[in-house]
Amino acid sequence: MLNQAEDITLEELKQGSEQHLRKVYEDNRDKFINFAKRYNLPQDDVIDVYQDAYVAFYNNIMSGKIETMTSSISTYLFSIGKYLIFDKMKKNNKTISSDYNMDIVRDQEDVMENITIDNQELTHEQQLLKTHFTSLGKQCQELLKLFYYRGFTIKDILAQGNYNSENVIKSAKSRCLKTLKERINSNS
Amino acid sequence: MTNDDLLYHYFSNTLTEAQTREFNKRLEMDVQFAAAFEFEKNLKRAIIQEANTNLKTRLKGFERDIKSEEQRNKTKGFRWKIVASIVFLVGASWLGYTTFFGVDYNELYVSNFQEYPNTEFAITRSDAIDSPERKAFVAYEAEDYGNAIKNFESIPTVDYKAYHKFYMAQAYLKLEEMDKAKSLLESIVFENEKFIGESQWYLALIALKKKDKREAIQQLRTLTEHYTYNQSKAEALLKALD
Repeated sequence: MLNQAEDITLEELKQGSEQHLRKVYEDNRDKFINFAKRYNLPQDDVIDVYQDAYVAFYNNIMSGKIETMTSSISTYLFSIGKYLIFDKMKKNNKTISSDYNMDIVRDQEDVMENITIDNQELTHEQQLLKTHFTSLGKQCQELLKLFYYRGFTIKDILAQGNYNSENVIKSAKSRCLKTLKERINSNS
Repeated sequence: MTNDDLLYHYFSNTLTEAQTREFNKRLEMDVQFAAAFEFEKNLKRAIIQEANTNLKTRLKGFERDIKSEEQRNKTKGFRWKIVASIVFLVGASWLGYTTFFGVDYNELYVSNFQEYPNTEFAITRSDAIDSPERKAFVAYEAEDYGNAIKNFESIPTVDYKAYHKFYMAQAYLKLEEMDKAKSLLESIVFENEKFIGESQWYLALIALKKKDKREAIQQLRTLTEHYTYNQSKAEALLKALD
């Protein structure tokens, strides 16, 4: 299958520059709106679903669930978008006609096999962690994001050249976690 | 192997088979280990959610840009026909009016515009990380606005902060790219982000630059009614426009 954003690599997307994120957004937006027309949703809802699908797609890249692009970016976005639309319709108690299921394209089903979509609300503890995480110093936030969001190993972080040794990174990470725990405990 | 080591391997997806068995055993038997695991698992989810929120905000910004571009294109086609038919008549009378009685919008803009200083990112020589954010603010302080924008745009999503948009808008203002600055400032106001009062002020200045009196008055009124930033200057401008 042709990849319509061939000039943008997975690695470039991971870097998350404004330019690349915008290009993928613009390249796929109109196609997604056309694709979603069959579900008779208001335009604002379609845009909202498109953005949520984009976020979920990006998350799967960052978590390593998508390691190589086996389909075009639009196939990923359509597949995730369709899942989210069905989910939205179910929540609104709208019935899904069997025609919709007949529309499912084989490679879209394949794509979804490796994708994780997390649309659960944060628990109270997670919400607290999120709040206190943003109050940490810049270096702590950066380090923890590299580890937990980008899935970097200590070696990957060392290779970036901002720390002198693996032990320094391990100690820094422990200190950051300790600070976070202390802040949460002093708040509760 | 320590608890920390086991957790590290779990979260970096590098557990061996033997380590996985040990990991599951401790999870069942060791309360402290189970609590530490739960904490890191929750933290991971919280960090991912934080990054998701930031990304969604950026996508909404792209959407607003697309919509305003569509709106501009829609009105452009209509506008040129009527503009062509009345330009001669209005042009002549407007010229006479502004010369003798009108407001000198450019003068008002120039005398009120002052780029906002960097109050968000402390640049120190000892900074170990030469991040895109640091490069952006170094360029901004060196008045190299083109490079500042380039670096702001290359800041990864995970590092995105609401104030980046504000300083990017400042850089566009200095380069006299009013529409780009306007779009960023409008999105700050829309998202109710940091620098909202300041953004309102600069939106009023953009309206002055565009000689859009009605818009300038509206922005200044919002500023004086809801925010404290540049109150007296805004009131003075309102008087000048009255």
